[in-house]
Amino acid sequence: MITNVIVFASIFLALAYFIVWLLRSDFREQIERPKHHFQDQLNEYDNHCVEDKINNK
Amino acid sequence: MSSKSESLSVSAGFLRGSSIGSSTDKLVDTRLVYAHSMAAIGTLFLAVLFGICISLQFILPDLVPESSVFSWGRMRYAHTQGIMLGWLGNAFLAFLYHAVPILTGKQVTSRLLGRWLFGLWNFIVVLPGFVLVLAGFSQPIEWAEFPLSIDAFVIVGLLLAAIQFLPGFFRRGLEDLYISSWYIIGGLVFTLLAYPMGNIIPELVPGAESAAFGGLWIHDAVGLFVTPLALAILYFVIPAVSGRPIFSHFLSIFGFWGLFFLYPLNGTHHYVFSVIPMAAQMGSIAASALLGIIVVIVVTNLTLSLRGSGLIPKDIGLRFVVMSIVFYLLVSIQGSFQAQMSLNQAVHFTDWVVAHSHLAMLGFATFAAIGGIIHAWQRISWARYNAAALNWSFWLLVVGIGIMFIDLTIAGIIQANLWLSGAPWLESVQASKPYWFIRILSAIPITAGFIALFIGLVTGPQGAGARAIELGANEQKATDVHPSFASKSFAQELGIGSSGQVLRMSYFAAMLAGVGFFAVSVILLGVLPGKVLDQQIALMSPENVLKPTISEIRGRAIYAREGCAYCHTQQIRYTEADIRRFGAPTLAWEGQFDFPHLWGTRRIGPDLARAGATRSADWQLLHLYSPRTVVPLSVMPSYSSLFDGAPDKPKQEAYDLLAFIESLGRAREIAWPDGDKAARELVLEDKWALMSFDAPLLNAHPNKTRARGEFPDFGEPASSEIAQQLWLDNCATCHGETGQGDGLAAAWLEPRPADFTQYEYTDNNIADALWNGIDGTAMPAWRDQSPENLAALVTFVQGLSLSGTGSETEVDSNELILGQQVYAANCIQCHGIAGDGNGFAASELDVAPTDFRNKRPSISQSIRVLQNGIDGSSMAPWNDRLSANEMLAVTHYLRGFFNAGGRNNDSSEGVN
Repeated sequence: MITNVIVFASIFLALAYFIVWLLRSDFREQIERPKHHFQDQLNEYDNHCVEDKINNK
Repeated sequence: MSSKSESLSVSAGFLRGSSIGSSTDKLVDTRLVYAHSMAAIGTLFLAVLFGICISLQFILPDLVPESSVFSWGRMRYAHTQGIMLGWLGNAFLAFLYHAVPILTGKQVTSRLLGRWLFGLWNFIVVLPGFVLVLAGFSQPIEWAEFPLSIDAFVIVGLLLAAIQFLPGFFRRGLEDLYISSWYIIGGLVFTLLAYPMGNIIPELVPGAESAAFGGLWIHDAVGLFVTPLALAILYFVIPAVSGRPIFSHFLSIFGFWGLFFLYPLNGTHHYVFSVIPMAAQMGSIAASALLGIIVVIVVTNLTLSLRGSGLIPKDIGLRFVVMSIVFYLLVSIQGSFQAQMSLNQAVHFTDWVVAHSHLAMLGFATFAAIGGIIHAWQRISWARYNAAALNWSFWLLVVGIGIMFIDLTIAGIIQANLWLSGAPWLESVQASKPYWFIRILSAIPITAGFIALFIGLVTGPQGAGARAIELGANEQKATDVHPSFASKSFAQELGIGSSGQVLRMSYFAAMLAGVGFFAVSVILLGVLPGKVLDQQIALMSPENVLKPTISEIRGRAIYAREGCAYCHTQQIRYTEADIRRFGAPTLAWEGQFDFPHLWGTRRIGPDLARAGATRSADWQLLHLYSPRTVVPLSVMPSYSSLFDGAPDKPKQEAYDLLAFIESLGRAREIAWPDGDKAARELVLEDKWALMSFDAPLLNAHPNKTRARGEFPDFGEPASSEIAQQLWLDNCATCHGETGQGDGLAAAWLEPRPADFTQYEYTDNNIADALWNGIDGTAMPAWRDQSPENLAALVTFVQGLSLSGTGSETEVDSNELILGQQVYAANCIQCHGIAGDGNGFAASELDVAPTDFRNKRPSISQSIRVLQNGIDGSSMAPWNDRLSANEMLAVTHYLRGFFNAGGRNNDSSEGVN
């Protein structure tokens, strides 16, 4: 019983997630959005790190 | 402008608005990054030092002979807790101080709180934890060895960490929660849930139930604390260095939920083939297999995110991260396979698992942690940075951990094969020694790598790490530019107001789901199995089971304190190999008084679930005091601190420990066979329970003595060289190299080991003693030796006899008549009319009287025994009752019983 719960729950959750991703283009875009925003934040921060170094020289 | 964009602007504005030269420092508290990194490396050195000391003791078991503070078990406790809480705990905190402000665009909650958290974590948790464990205050739960008092502060520390790092995510808004943020939130929240569950509940529930929760925690410690925070680092550093977003945020979220759903459900795979209900075991095995699939997806996503960076990136932080990914894939696939029953029954308890855990903690997690620290370090404008030393660190650690992993994996396979073959236990110990030696050698590059890491972070020019950022800035930037966000949001299509509303709902749902997943794991693998185990105990336990005495309870605490369970399991598994070697598998009720369980997860020595009544008390005490005095090939540490300078001067602690060891398996021994029969009738449908009830022997330990008389035909003997080696390895410590009964251990054993030079033995007598041992003495059985080895030993022992070589004299009939009269008057009660050791009093004696048909003393030896008796047996001195003539006469008479060519195996033969 426990095995069935684990296996079927895993498959169900994975499939549900995958199907929504497959069918909804806006979901696909929405779920990818954080990586781009994070990239901006990283670049921003690193630029300032380099600036700090230049300013400290 | 979306709230996300606003948040980004806040971040950028914060940075731009800061004073020149300190803008990054204002967002990130670099001093706390620095402090936690240094604390991490400091505690890492301590934990590694403990690890080296305990691994050295496998080769030099007497390295710390007189100290209880630095005993093997205590250092083992300090080693694992030092790695998890000291090294990784501090390293993760260091990284969080760098990453969370960048992820949230906001400072952490409070710099003052950060200083309190630093102080609490290092000076109230880690250092006192080390001190208390070494002083003997600990709990014998794997990955939870610091005592409960420390656990309370760990929970406070985790709470402070949650307060310090999590509010930023919520203040910023959760619209664009990057995957590292998910892992950080998940790691902190679920560790807060799992830590008390794993550290406290096993103390409150007994035996198998305690093990079920302990197993959950073993995996939660890795799956809910170490892995999420390590993955947060990987997902952070890769885009930061490559200058490109990760390949797929969809897959990363898929992996996140897959890991958080499945990791906690793996717990019971640490106890496959145990008495924990098979439904829970199978569930954890299935979850382990599924987890392997999830990890492949995660690693695929990470690898695709690295495209273009090469296998050995120029950026050293990223290089550590790449190797961490390689280790993560290896260790996870290995974990999925070793949970499967076919592999598990062979490699579980071997060094294979030790290799696995080192690959997880020292490979995957440590490389991720170092990658994170180096990445943050490069961005501290005032920190020194020595790229050459860090480069050395990388290669030294790769080589060291590679050697250790391969070496211990091979050792595990060898141990597994020997255990399955039924070979003597010590053969697996002997076969492991070269691999244990190589493991020590692997510590050289590992330690050197950590030293190089330290040098890399404290030497070199200040701000030199920023060069790496400049290099990274020159890398190819992302080609996949921001997608144009959908004009019509997903939420709008669903008709649920604004996207903020649906996101709030989705995060609320996610939080519930996350807590739900954890609850599911606790219910499925902890609570439900616990209920079944309770029912089993109620059903199968005999009435009025003997409860442990006060002395036994104290002894158990000493056993736990010294980490005995880390080398000796206390669970006979439901496998053919265990049943053959140790006996009937452990039932739930056998551990109903064990708080917490002491099942163990490694067998360096044999299982002790039925250790009671397997060895004599004097043997046990001598073995505790000086293991190699009785077992020359043993690697067990000495526990001489439990004695007052000699094995026959045990302190109360030694007596208590002995009492506990002698109690192991006693309750089942008393129940067997009648109590077991009654219980068996109630569980006819339970094939696993029947496996235990129908085992041929309750205690199958090959060294346990049995009633003498039955032994197989050994057949052709092995060579005399093999016999000589067997003698030196197994017999000489008691009987002496020349067989005179004067080995190192002889002085401490009662009765003393036999002097083979002074007796003649029939083949059968020696074969019988080797196969069955001698009850009431320290002479064990040797049923784990092969028949040809035993046959060779029979011949070897006979060859030691000097008796009967030229000392025979003609005996006149009058003397024999006198001898017969003396024998009839004084000896037949014990030794029997026929000299077969089967007199009417024999059955009442702890040590069986000698069967003179199979064993003939020399004349001088016989006189000596008559004059002095035999200590530790019922054979008294006869000085005051027999004259010298009578002694000589009865000696001649009893020597006449000897029947060198016959098989006289119908008696229980002893020493006196």
